[in-house]
Amino acid sequence: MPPAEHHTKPQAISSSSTETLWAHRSGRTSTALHKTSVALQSLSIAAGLAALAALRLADLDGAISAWEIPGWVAVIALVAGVAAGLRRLPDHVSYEIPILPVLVALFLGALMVETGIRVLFGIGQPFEWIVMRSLGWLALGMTATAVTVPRQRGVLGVGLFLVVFALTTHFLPDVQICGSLFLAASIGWLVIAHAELLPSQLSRQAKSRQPFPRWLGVALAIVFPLLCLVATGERHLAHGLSGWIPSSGGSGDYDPYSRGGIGDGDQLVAGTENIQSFGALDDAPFIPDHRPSLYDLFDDTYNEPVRNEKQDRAISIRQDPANRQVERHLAETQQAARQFSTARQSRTAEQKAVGSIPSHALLHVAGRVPLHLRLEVYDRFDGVNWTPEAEFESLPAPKIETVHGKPWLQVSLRHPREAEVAATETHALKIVSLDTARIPSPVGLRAVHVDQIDRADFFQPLPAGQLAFQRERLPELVPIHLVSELIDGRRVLERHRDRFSVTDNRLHRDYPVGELSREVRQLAFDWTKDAHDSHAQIEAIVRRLRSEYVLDNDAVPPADVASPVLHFLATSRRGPDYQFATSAAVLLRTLGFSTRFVTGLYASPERYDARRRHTEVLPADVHAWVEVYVGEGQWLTIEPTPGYEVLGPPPTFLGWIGATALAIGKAILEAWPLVLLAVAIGAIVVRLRRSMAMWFRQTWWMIVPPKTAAEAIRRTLVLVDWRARRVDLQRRPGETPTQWLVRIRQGLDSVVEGLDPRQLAIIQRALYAPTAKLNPVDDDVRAVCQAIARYRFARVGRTTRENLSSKGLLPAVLVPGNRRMAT
Amino acid sequence: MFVATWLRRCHLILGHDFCPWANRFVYWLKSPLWCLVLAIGASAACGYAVHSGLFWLTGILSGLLLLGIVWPWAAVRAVRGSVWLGNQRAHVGDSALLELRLWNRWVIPVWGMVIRLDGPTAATPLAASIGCVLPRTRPEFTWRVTPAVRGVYPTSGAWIVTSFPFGLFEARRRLEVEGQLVVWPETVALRGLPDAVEFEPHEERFAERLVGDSGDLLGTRGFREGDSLRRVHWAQTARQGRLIVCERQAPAACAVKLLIDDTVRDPESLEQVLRVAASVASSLARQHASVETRIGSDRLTIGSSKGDLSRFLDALARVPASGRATSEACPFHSANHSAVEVIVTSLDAFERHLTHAHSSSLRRFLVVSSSEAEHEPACCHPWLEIPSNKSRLGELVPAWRKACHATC
Repeated sequence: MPPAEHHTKPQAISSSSTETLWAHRSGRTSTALHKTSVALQSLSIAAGLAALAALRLADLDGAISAWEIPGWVAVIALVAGVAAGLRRLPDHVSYEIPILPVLVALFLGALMVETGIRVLFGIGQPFEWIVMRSLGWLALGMTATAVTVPRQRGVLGVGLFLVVFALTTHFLPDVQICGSLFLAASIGWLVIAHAELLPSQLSRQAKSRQPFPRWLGVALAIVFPLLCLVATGERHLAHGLSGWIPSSGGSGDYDPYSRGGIGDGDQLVAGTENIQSFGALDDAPFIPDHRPSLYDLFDDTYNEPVRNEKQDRAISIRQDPANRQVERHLAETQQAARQFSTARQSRTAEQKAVGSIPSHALLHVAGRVPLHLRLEVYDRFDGVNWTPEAEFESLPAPKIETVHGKPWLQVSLRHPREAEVAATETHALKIVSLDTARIPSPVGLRAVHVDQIDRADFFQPLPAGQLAFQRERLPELVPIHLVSELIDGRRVLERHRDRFSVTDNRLHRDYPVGELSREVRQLAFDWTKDAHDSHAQIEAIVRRLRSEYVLDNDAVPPADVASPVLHFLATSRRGPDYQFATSAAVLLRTLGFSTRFVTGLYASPERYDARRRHTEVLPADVHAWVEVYVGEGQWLTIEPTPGYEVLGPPPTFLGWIGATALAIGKAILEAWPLVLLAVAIGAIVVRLRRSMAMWFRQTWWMIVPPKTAAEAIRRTLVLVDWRARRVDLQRRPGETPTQWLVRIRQGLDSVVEGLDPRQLAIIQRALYAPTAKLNPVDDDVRAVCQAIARYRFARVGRTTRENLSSKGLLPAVLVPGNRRMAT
Repeated sequence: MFVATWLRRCHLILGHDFCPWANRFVYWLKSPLWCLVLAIGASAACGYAVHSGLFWLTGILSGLLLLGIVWPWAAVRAVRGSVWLGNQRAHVGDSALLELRLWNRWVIPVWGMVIRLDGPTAATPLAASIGCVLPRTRPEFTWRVTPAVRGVYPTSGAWIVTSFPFGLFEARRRLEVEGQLVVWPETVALRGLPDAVEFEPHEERFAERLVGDSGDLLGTRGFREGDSLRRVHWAQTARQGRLIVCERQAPAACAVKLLIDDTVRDPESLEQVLRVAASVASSLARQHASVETRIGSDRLTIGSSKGDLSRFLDALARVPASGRATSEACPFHSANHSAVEVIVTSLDAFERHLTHAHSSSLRRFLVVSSSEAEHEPACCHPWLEIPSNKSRLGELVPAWRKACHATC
C-alpha cells in the first residue's frame, strides 16, 4: 500500500522559495504531492517494470511463451500512456483522481481471481505466489500512476521486495539481469531525486584556493620510504613496497603478463643468497641440460661442484627449452638415526667452535611459520632411549589426483572432522641439502605435490603419516608442496567430553616402571591437579616446563645418572630440547595420554626472510617435540621447549592488524635513533617551512637582476604578495597593486613605513605606462622596489588577527573567535 | 457520475489518516534508509535460508547503504564555514543578502551541500544548496534569501547539511553565525488616522492641523456668532467695515495606544494579529502619530525616531510562533484610559474581554477572526474585523480608512 497522503490542496510552489523546497524535501507539507520531473518518473517506471519483469520471469521459470513479448509491449504502452496522461493534468486535477481504490482493486483482484480458479477448476498456486502476484498488480498500478515523490518511493519499495522474492525463488540469469536493471534504475532515482529536491543552488562569488600543502607532499615523500624502511628493515625494503608492482611470484600478487619474479609464485624460485644465486624451477633437477644457467653463477661464486655420480630415480619430463638443468653435488647432511638417545656426551670446545660456524640452509619453507617438520617419529621409550615402532604397519597405497592440472599425491589417512580443523595449511619446501628420502612434513599431512611427478610409486608411505621418496634422497632444489590440516585441540575436546582418546598401540602409552614412573607420575599429578580436562592438563604441563625449566643445549646429565629424564625433571631443571620433549611425553603418558616423541626440523619465524617470503631452515634448527593423540587418528603437536612455538590458526583480521602494528612498533623501537632523527628533522622542516620558503624566494629576488622596470616592480610585488598571504592580506582579484599596497599598509609591522604617493605613482608608471616593457631599471624604481620589499607583516598571532579583523582586513573566518572553525 | 462520486469517496476514505497518533510508529518506514535496511535483512535471510545467491543482493544493498551513510558523514567533516547575516532587518517577502564562506579542508571535493538556517518553526528554515566545493578552497557565496515567516533567524543555528548522493542519511555540521536576520511581519499601507488628537500638541511632530485660538495665523474670515472677540482682526475690521476675525491653526499629533495581544493561541490568527499591528503602527508612525505600544510587558513608544518603529517591529518579530504564555485573565487591563487604545486581538480574546468591567469607550478593538469562528459576539461589535487568512490582509486597507472616517 502506498503511504497515506494528507488530503489538503496542493499549494503553488515557487522555484525561488528555498524553504518551500526544503519542506518539499523533508515531506513535511503537501508540496510533496506535486509532480516530479519526467526523468524521475521515467526512472521509477523503469524500476517498477524491471521488478515486474523479474517477478514474471521467476513465475515463468524459463518457459517463456510467444505471447510474452506482445504482452509486455502492451503493458509498457499502458503504463506509459497512463503516466503521460497524468502528467498532462494539472496538479490539483491529477491529485483528485481516485487512484487508491484502483490500486486496492488491483491488489484484491488477483486474490479473487485465484480464489475463483481454485473453486472453478480445482487448481491453484502456492500462497506466496498468490501474494506476490497481487503485489505485482499493485506495483503495476503504482508504477503507472506514480507522479509524485511518495508514490514513486512506494514503487521502489514494493519493487525491491518483488526482486528479492523473484531472486529467492529463481536465481536465474535473466532474473538477475532484471534485478540489476531494477537496482540501477533505483540508484539513479535516488540520486536524481536527491539532486532535484535540493533547494535552489547558490552561485559562487569568489573563491580563494588553498594551495595543496606542499610541505605535506614533501613530508610524505620523506616519511613514506622511511616508514617502509623502518617497518620492514633495511633488508626488507622490497617487502615493504611489495604489492605495488605485480609479479609472477614472490610478492604474492600474481599477474601472468608481468615480468618474472622471485619467491612463491607458480615458478617457485629459491633465491637464498641473492636474487641470482639459484633459481630452481619445479622440474629443475630432472632436466639433463648443460646450457649455462643461473646455477652457473652460483658455481662461479662457490666453485665448481663435484659431479654427482650417483644414479637415482628420476622422472622424464617434456622437452621444454625453457626448462633449466641442475646437476650438482650438495653438501651432505647428517641423516636422522633410527634411534634417538636422551643420554649424550658432553660437547667439546672444538665442537662448539665448529657448531658456531653458520652453515648453509637445509631447506627453505614457504608458508606460515613456525612449523614443525617431522623427520622421525618415535613410539617406544625405555627410560633412556626412544625407538620407533619396529614393524611397519600395512599402509594404504597413496593415490595421485589431478587438481587444477597438477598431480597431487593424496595421503590416505583418516581426515579429521571439519569442525575440528582449525585451518588447512599449504607449505612449500625447497630442499637444499637434506640427505634423506623422507619428506619433512607437518603433522596432519594430507597431500603432496611435486611438479611433473604424476606417479604414485615415486612415493612411499611411512608410519605416523609420513611420506618418503622412492629414491635415495630428496631431490634438491625441487619445491615440494604440502597440504596439511591443523587440528584445534579445544574443538576435539568438546566432542570427546573433556578427554582425549588414546591409541590402540600401547607403545604410545607405556613408560618404564620403577622410581622414574613413581616420581614422574607424582609430578604430573601435582602439576595438573587444577586441570579439569585433557587440554588443560596438557597446557599445565607445557606451561610448567616452559616457565620453570631452562633450555640449555649444552647441559647433559652426569654419566652415572640412571634416568636422564628424572634428573632433568627433579634435579637439574636444565637441558636441551629433547629432554623437554621426553619429559613432556613421559609426564603425559603417566596421565594416560598417548604420546610420541618426534624429531625433525623447526622452521623458526625468526629466520623468516620477508623479501623472499621464505624461511630458512638451518642445521641448527634440528629439534625434538611431542605429539599427543586426540582421537580418530589425529595427533596434536605439543611444544614444551621454551623459545619454540606451535603454528596456531591463521590470525583474524583484527589479529593481523594488531600483529602488524606490533611489528611496526617493534621495528620503530629497534631503530629509534633513526626514527627520532627523522621526526626531529621533519618537525623542524614543518615548523620552519614558511621561513625557509621565504628565504629562498627572497634570495632569488635578490640575486636574479630584473631586465625592465616593470619586471622589477612585478617581481617585488609577487614577493610581498607571498608574504602577505601569511596574514591573508594578499591582493584580491581586480585590485590594482597601488590599491593593494595602500590597503595593506595598516597590516604592516609597526617598524615598516608605507609608500608615499610619489612612490605609488612610480609603481603605476612602471607597470602601466605605454613603454613599461621597455623602461630600464632606474634608481627610482630600484628605491621603490627596496621600499616595497621592506613590507613585512607582523607575525600572525591572536592580537594581530584581532587588530586586522577590527580594521576589516581579515576575513571573519580567521578571526580568533572563530578559531574553532578556522582550524 | 455515481461511480465517480463513489470512487472519490473511497479515495478519500483510503487516504484518510484514521489514527494520526500512530504515525510516529510507522512513518519511519517512509524513509528510504529503513526500507533499504529491511530489504537487506530480507535478502540476507533469504540468502541464508533459501539461496546463497541472494547474498550478492545483500552485498550490493549493504554497499549502497554504507555509501549513503559514510559519504555524507565524511563530507560534512571536510567543510567548515560561516554565515554572515549582519543584523539585517527585512519584512516577510522582502529579500535579504547573506554572505556565506566555506572552507573545504580536505583534498577531495564535496557535492550536494545544503546550507540551512533554522527558522522560527521547524518547517520554515532558510535553505540553499551548493553544487560543489572544490578541494582546498575557500569559496564565498552571496545568498539572497526571501523569508516567508517572520521571526529571528537563525533560531538554533546554521547548519551545513548533506545527504549526497542518495538522500538516505542526512549528516550535518554547525556553521558559525555572525549577526542575525530579523524578519518583520508583512505590512500594508494604511491611510487615515483614528480620532485621537493629543491634548498637548507638539511642534516638531504633527499628524493633523488643529484650527483654533492658538497657533499660527492661517487667514481671516468674517465674524460668525460664537467667535471670540479676542480673535477679531481690528485692522481688517476697520478697513472693511465689518468684523473680521483671524483664523489660527496649530499642529496637533494623533496619540494612540496600540495594544497587541500576543497570547493568541491559534498560530494563523497570531500571525495576522502581528501583521495588522505592524501595519497600524507603521502607518501611524508614517503619519507622525504618537504611538505607545504594548506587547506583553514591553512598552515601546514610537515617536519621530525611525529606530522606534524598528524596535517595535523587532519586538513583533520576536513573539514566539505559538504565542506568549500568560496567566493573566485579560492582557488589556489598563488603569489609564486617557488616550485612544487600539487593541489588536483575536475574536476569542475579544469575547472574553467583553465580560470584563474595565471596558472603555476609548478602546477600538481590531479583531482578527478565524474562518471557523464566524459567530458574532452577542452584545458588541469590534471596531474592525479582519479575517485571519494571510491573503486577506489587504482588506484592512479600506476597512481602516472607513473606520477612521466614520469615527472622525
